[in-house]
Amino acid sequence: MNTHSGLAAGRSRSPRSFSARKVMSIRQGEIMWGYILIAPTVIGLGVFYLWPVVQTLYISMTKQGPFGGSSWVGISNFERLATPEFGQSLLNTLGYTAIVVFLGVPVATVLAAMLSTTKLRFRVFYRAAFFIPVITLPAAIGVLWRWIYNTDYGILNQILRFFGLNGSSWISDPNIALYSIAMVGVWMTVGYNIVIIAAGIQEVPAWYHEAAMLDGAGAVRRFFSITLSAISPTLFFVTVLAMIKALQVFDIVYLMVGDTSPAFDRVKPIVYYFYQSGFIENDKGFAAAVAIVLFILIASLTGVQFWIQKKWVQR
Amino acid sequence: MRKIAKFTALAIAAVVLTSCAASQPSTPTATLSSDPVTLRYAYWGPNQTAAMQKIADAFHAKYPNVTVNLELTPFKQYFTKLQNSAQGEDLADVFWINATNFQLYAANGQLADQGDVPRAVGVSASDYPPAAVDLYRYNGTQYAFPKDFDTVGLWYNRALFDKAGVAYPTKDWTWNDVIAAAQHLTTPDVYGIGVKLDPQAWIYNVVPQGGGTVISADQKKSGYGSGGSLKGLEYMSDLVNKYKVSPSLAQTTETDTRQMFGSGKVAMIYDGSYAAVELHKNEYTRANADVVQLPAGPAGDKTVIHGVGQAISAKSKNIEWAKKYVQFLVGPEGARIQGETGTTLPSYKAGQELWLKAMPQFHLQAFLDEVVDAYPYPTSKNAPVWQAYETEEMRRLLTGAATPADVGAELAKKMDSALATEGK
Repeated sequence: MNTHSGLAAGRSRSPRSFSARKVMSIRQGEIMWGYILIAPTVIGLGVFYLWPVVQTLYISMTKQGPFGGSSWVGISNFERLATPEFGQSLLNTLGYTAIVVFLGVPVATVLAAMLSTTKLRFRVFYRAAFFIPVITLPAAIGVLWRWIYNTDYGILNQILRFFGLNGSSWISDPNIALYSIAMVGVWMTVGYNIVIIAAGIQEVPAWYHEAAMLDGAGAVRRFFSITLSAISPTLFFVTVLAMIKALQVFDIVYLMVGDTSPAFDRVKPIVYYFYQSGFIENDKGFAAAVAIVLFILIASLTGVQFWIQKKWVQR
Repeated sequence: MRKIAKFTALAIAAVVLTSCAASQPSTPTATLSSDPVTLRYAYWGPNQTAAMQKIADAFHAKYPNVTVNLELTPFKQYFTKLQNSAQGEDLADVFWINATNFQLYAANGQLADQGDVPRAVGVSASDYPPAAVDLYRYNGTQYAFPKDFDTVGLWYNRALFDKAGVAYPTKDWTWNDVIAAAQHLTTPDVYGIGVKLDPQAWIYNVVPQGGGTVISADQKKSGYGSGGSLKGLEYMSDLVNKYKVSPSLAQTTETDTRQMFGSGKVAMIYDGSYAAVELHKNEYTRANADVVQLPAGPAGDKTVIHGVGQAISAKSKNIEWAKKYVQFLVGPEGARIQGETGTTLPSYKAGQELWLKAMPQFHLQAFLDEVVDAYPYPTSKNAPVWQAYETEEMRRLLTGAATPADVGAELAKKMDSALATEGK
């Protein structure tokens, strides 16, 4: 034993000190390489995300000249946000987001579960069909739905008229325009959510279901008791993303409802308010303040979600 | 004796004028280089692309060392992009501008002084509509020049008038005639007239026709609170809400009035000379539509005038060639191409005849006759701000949510506070 260990020690004395140094240098090399490899991402993130955030914060405290040049105004841009107009656009955005998240995600979950049943024929076709709106340009979606919703000539009202119903001014009636637009929001995001949720469903081990079936659980019971709790991390992920995207809604509103529409005040989202202040009225400092408020809103709502998820997401 | 005096005065005037004209060609050519030059030309009208390209080609044929590249941006994004490129010092050498945005660029040193454009072209200043030219003068300096101009007329559908047995509109019509005719023309399928929330086609005509103003002459005060302005607003509101002879704001926002007019759903619209091309392309309107001067209001005939300005970036590396190009565009050659193709009503007099001839189905002379009643397009240093308020308040007016008096007072208040902080 002794001899053996002595031998081993004697044999390895000089290599050991050598290898320690070598290990150290390999370690350092690895660390260095690690930094080099993440550098493009970190630099990109810094230059294109973090630095603009800092800059926007600075701009929000200034008054910007139309062609450059600025003066410090402190928090007065934020004080100017205390208007009914901004409050209304905040409400509009939250309303839209609530519908897109609380209707869109459950609908996507049910559809994903249905698309995951192996018995379904033309599964691939349905998946593709639901996914098409996701890869369609928002501009095309806006124009298409604008036409579908048209009061006099739209296909929706024509179908309703065929059944003897009167239809409505879907995107011009201030009381319903937001809902009509949110429906398009659900329609255009549901495909993406389905793909993510369906992937989550496929991860659920088949023997869970087999065991439940032996116990006599039907498809609905299994969906609620097994699938739903097993995919809760996926649902959390989808909900967070859907909410962030919905809070930033702009394009479909811009395309479907113009500023001459009677419903404009009741659908104008925060990002539109930002666009109008910054790019139409040339008040870029104020627009930056709007962007900062939206940023804080998104960050805090996401924070709240992370806090709530402890209560419902299974690990 | 008096006759002789008159004659001599005329003769002197003629000599002075011709000598002015004769002395001009030597000055600009001095600084023009013969090196290859590329000019960037930014514009927003897709239906003018063909004519703009023709003008660019004609210029290249005349000056082979100069190439003009067109850069089209849709109107909705045009001014956003323009301002960003100005900030990035990447403005096109020559670009379109409108009266709403002109002063912002002129006041901030973005535009090159174009001097006396008609003189440089070698024509008389009176060959251009003065109200359109003055839109692009800032503090006495000509920073842009209109290549065309537009006034607004009353377009009507003869077939629908015949069907309802109503006499065609004439240039002597007043608001009351419009209301009476529209009432006769309105059926369950057809509206008598299409009122649109559009400053140029409606608001900026009916306000001066009522005896009001949009903005004071010094561009410091709103005119919307005045009694005359309220009459104009009331006329618009009444057509929609009281007489119900126009589609609602919801309908006209979703389907443009010009489109409704083009499919025979609306018998009359107020629309600009710029609508002629489209209405001429449409077979139905080409056969059935015609146009007269706008009906007079209580304060008589008034029509807003606007034209697309041709501006030169102050930072262009080829300002002299850019000037030459603008002069070519607004001069006889550019006017000829724009007129012949029917693209737009050229600002230069000789081109206007060609525009009339390009669409003989319509009595387009009405638009030229209106120049004497021209009301310059209202604007100020940062007009987009109060124009947003205008749209906001007009929505309340046309939906019937507020009375003309409320809308006028509220708009005047908002506009005044916007004007007070302009350029500060």
